[in-house]
Amino acid sequence: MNAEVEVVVTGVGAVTCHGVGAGELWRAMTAAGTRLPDRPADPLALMDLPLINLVPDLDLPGLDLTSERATRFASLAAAEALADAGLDAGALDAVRSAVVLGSCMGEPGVNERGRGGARWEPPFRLASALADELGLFGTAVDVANACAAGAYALGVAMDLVRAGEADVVIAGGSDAYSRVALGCFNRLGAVDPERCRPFESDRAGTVFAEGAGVLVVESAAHARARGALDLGDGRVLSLGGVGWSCDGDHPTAPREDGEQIVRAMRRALGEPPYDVGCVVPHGTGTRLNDVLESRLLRRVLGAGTDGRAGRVPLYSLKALLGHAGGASAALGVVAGALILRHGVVPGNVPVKEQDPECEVWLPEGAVPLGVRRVLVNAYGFGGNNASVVLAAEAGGSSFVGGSDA
Amino acid sequence: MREIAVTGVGVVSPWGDEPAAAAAYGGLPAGGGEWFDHRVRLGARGYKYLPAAAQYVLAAARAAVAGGAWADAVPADRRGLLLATNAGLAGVYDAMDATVAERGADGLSPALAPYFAANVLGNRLAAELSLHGFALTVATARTAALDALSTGASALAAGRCGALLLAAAEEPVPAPRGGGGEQGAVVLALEPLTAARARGAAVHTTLRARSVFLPPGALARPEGRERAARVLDRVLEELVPGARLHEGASAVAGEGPGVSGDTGQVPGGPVSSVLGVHLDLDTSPVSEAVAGALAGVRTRVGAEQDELPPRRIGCLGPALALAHAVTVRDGGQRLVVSATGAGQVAFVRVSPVQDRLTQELQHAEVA
Repeated sequence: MNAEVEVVVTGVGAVTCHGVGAGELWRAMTAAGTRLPDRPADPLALMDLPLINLVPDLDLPGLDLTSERATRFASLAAAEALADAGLDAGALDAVRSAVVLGSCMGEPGVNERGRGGARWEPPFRLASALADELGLFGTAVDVANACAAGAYALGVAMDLVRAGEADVVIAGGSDAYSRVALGCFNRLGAVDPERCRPFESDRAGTVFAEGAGVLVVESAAHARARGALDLGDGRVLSLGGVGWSCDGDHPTAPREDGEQIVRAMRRALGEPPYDVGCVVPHGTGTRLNDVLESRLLRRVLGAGTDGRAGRVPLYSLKALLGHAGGASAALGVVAGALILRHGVVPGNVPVKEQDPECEVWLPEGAVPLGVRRVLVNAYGFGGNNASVVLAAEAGGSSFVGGSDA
Repeated sequence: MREIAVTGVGVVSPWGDEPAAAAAYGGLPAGGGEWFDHRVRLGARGYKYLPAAAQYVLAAARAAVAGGAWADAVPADRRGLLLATNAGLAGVYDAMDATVAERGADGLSPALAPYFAANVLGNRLAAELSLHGFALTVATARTAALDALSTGASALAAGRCGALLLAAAEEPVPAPRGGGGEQGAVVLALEPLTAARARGAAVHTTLRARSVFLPPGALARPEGRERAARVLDRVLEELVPGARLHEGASAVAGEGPGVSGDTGQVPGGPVSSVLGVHLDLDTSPVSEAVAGALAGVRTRVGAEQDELPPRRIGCLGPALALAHAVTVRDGGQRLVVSATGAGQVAFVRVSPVQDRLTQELQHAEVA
């Protein structure tokens, strides 16, 4: 392991409830419109609130609830990310390229009644499907860390590059509609009947979403050797750090003291001062989590998140997309990349009345990005915490090696 | 830091908790009857509502860290968990799907509802042993436990933790969904060799893992097969340098099921060329490529072909083979290999270590 190895993100791809492509995601971010959830055409979804933000099938022939949706989302996002990185899949060094994909559910439809076959099949096969499609011979790992899976996948990718085991890792997360997951969230009373409304006073839970976020994670040396760093257009970003921690406590509720969440954030941020220009929070809309994350952001970043002091804006992505489970963190990092590339934090989806216990700054209008570093948080059942820091000026003098070692 | 020391092993299996006996059955589920009583194995209260696989993994972990030295070796924030599972919650998931589809989500058990997410299977273990460093769940079909070792080695090297538990757990697939699968759990306590020695732990074996992917689509073409052969040769040379046969020599062949402890001699090679190989392969072109590469490796025991269970669902079989290889302690190196038709290929080399304390004792005896 060589902590001096700078790891960069050279390409991003996204599939969301707003359509296919990071361009569509950015358009939705800048429009900041409200999207009401869908009701999947699943007659067996017997629950009070069968609500989820589905990926629209307008441009995706054959995409129904019996198709392998998560696999397809990952494939589409990966193709976009590779093109964005200027990498032709056929020209990749197949032996030095790997795939790491996170997911909460894998490909759940194959094992749900009326959607898959009669026999149970291992649902976590997204990485092998993508690696086969791309013809890669590096490792292909399926990470199943619930709603933090995408961030864990990025950490695994970073470690692979730093260890010299891969030059390029196609990494991220993908998740699709699962009847069981939605049923369980209904049973736990964690679904908002209106839409996903993080940090609002009367929020009542989250709303799931489908989607995939995929990034091309690469050693800076490899990116430099192929000329990707020479363009000087700020498209290549530095993967500054990925922090992990585990509450080791309640299966669904975060530890009240938040110590492990703070530790993951600090590890991703590296040495103080913890300056960031934007936070893409986990912010799901569940009551306890939003309050706790707000409090812990203030603890780590100082009072600046509430608009009174350092004014660190939050971009509340799930208000726009819903909660895309194991893809949500990867989509958060893709959104962070777009914010860094454009140098602006788009206005948030308007909040009717912000919870006074959530002392964070959610600007409704676009604000210029100050410090060119974005912090992305992700938390999952099982107390699985992760934070990711993405920064501009990849390959430049700003890289501080060892921040994640 | 790719070499990881094993300082504890725990196995829970319907066929007994002794690694050799359990490995001989390759994760085969119990034929019937109650073989695991959580009240006896875990405690009178507090475990009833855990899914069976979560109960197995707790019991196996307690065995792996018996004595408490592993847990005391590093602070809680430096302890990591690698959870590997494929079908550990398949029965729970299927039952919840039936409930939602037939009676509605209100009929779900709130205690089991969080287990729609596979990683929650390890939550109680992380809580009981204060594994706060991280909990990473690898769910890749069949090779998850071996793949997790590669990932764990990188996490150790990255400083994400100072010690690790590798936990593999499976539970059979319900009969109406095809049945089969595996049952039980394996837990290995792991840490860097230097750290284990520094605290005076007895270390008998170290592990070095490497996972690669052979795209099935590429194997349909001659150039793809040639590239796969080069990749596999490189991995084998990295893991067992010098073990490749010279051209024209012949490998020791054999496919005896079960577990062998033969310690025959290998002609003309350094210690690193001595291998017992456990093969966990199917009939796919991927496995064919792996078998071809291994045919060129010197082995002193016949390659053990894992033929149980017939339908390879679950990651426990390779994990049990690993637990057995770690505990044989006959002085020989072993290689545990698993491959799937989907393209996953994982290798773990198990190397004997002459413990420093043992060495010192021997020196004292000589003196």
